Amino acid sequence: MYHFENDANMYPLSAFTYTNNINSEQSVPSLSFDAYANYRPENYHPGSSFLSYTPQTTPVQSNDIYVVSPTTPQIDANIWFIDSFTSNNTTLVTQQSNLITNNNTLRKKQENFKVCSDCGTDQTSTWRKYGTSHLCNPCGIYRTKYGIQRPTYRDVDGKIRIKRRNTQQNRECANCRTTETPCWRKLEEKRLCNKCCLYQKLHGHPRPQKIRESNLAPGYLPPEILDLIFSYLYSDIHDTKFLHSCLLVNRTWCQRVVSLLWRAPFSVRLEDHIWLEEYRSISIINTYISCLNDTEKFLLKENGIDISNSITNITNPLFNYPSYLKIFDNWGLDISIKNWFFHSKDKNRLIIDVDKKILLSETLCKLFFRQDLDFNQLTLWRKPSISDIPSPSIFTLHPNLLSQLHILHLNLAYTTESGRFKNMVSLVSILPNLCKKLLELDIRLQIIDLHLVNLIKSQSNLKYFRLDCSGHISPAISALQYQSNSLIRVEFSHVQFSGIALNSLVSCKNLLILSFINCKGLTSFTWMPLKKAEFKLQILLVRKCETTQEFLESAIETANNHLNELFMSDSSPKILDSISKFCPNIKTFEIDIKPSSTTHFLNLLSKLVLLERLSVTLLIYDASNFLSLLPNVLPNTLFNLKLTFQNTPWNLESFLKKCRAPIQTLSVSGILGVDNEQVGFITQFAKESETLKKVLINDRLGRKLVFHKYSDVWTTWPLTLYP
Amino acid sequence: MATELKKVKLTSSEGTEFIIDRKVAEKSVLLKNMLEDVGESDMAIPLPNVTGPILNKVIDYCTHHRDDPFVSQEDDSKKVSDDIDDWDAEFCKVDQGTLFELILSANYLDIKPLLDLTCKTVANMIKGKTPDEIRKTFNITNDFTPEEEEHVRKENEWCEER
Repeated sequence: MYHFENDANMYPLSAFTYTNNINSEQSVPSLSFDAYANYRPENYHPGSSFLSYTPQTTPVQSNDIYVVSPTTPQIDANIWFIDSFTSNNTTLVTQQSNLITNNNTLRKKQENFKVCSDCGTDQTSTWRKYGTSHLCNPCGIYRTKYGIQRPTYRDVDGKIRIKRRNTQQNRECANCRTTETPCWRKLEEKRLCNKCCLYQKLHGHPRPQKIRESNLAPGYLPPEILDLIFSYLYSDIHDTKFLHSCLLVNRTWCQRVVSLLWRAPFSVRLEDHIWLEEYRSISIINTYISCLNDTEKFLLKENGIDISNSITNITNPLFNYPSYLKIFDNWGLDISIKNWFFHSKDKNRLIIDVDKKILLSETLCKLFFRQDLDFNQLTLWRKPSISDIPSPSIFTLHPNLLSQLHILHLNLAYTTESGRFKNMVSLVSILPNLCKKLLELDIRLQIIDLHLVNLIKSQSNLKYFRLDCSGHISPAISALQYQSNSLIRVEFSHVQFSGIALNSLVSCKNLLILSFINCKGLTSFTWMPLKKAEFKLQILLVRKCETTQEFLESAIETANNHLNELFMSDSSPKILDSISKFCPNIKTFEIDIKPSSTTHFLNLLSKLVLLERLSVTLLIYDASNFLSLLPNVLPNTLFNLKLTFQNTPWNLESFLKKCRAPIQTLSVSGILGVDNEQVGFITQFAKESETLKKVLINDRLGRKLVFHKYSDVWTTWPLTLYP
Repeated sequence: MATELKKVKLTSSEGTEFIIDRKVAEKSVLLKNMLEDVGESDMAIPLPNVTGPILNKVIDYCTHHRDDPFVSQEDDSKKVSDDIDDWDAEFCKVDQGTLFELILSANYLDIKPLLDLTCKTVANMIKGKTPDEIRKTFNITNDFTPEEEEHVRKENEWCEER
């Protein structure tokens, strides 16, 4: 009987028929030709047998099915029918009646019809005989050579194909590690697959790999993931030691790192007073100069700017560095250019020619702006020491430049001589038309003018608004009502609120954060409209402000139990009481404690059962009583405690021993009397503690002591300061 | 309460079935959106990009962090990589292949905290190493020509620490 060895050998057609050959005890397939015309078998072999097709002459049924059957030996009327290609175990049904069919047109074709008994093809250059069966040319050669039939497999479409290169299954492409290819190639002693070899010949470098094909090294991680990894190694241009190593790993890494490094080469960290180191700005400017075109270089030379240093060092830059710029800061550019001039070979370098400086800064700006960039962040400074920005016509020429701007910082408060900043003034006046997609707007200036009010009004999705302005601000405040659907965070500093009510914030239903720093004139009148507000504040900050108690009380009452974080300077007993009444759910709490309010404060602490972070500034000299009671009232959810003292002696040891809260980070500043004995105790305590992970101690002399537990390792720094 | 008890079926690339709490599954933004779109269904969700062992690890992570609050994206505070807690550090003590598979799965399933954690771990592996040491650690071949390397060095001279 005919026996199918496996599924792959099955001919996948319902109309395919077999006839059983009794004499030879071999099965002989018959093909029905209409199906055959649709599906041309590339590979068919019935185990170990011959196939020879000659048309059967008797038509039985006159439909479209035609049967080919062997001439010799004659069929014994046992015809097997395979009903479908899903059948694995040869569901053969005798259906003689269906089978014996014929048609005139096909009979002609069948005269010389041969199918290779091994692979089922009907086309070959030479038919070969193997035993009694006909084989196609390659199958015949294979059989003669190896004595077995060519192995086959079924591909994804269900077609049966010859398994190629079965003797070389261990082959692997040196580049993409594939094991299958229509043609193995060799290049420079490496075995490559067809694709990789042709790619390398054409492009001169290896074919880039998709992640899944590769061995999963991070070099092959998708770019956005590499970017995320690198973002943990880099905060800004002042700290590049880790990224410099990544830069030189390979091409892919280099490209990602370059795009990160050149995103914001001019950022100034104002709050930390960290300035751009000179060698950095010189190198940055040199690289940018090398990216200029010949006309621009010529123009700079013509105007007496010596750029030979930059050009000889770098001839053809590998990357188009200006195209990575996303964050622009005119102060940072100004500093860099100054540094560059100062270290150039120019004889008169000590007296920097203002015109030369402006020319270079304008040339560089043109270079940036013609890259079809879209800035993410723009910071403009108006300071006495720096020069104006290039003409704003450049911004109107390239409207894309600012259309995607998300963050805008306008620091215009530092000088009143706006006459020297004509270009900046006119840029600010056209900003409302240029950028409408701001998420963050930070304004520092003395007087709010109409353009800025328009800028606030014209935004479509402003989330964060910060205003530092000592002048008259009511137009800006009322403009905020245009942003009531989007505003999440609003901050004021140095604002004089007398007579101004926060009406425009009432309808800001998404507002979560509200902050006042160094503000004046905060009275119940200011907060009055907000009592009916729709928002649910999560963070409220009122620091160093001149406020009335009523303002604070109504703010706390409005915030109610949605409030998560509260930062306050005032700690009068009344306010502490209203906190315990209205905001018992706060998780973060920062407050200054006066001697009169210690008892109230300890009372309040025992009620804040969700408190996680606490920062207390003690305006008391003798705090021993307070400190001895503090550990008892700390809630058992607290993991971060910060205590700021006014030069108070304090015994950390007894505090830590008494404390039951699961504190992970403890910061203490302004204390006296930290000696080696206490340092030793803290180290020991933290080692044994299951929770404590970090201790920071600052004393009044500016000495710092940091314990940091990171995966069981403790670092103490700088211990040597303690003799 | 009701959503707490609901179960979700997931199928890994090789067809292994995992049944987990809906709350755990919802740590993945991809699955969360999918569950919201599909609604009530007993059908298993196929994850053809994630293998069984990796999916198992991912589920471990999501189960441990099931009660963590959802942290919104928009904080541009300075990114630090040394704030990994003990459980997470232990979780990341796996071979490199697994770690990278975890990164890709976290990216695909959109589990931001897991993606951050695994990327931080890789960042910590990079810290303090020379380019050559990095290449050795991650088995990367240097495809720079010497001239290119020199170019890169010169053009980015400013990021060399001095």
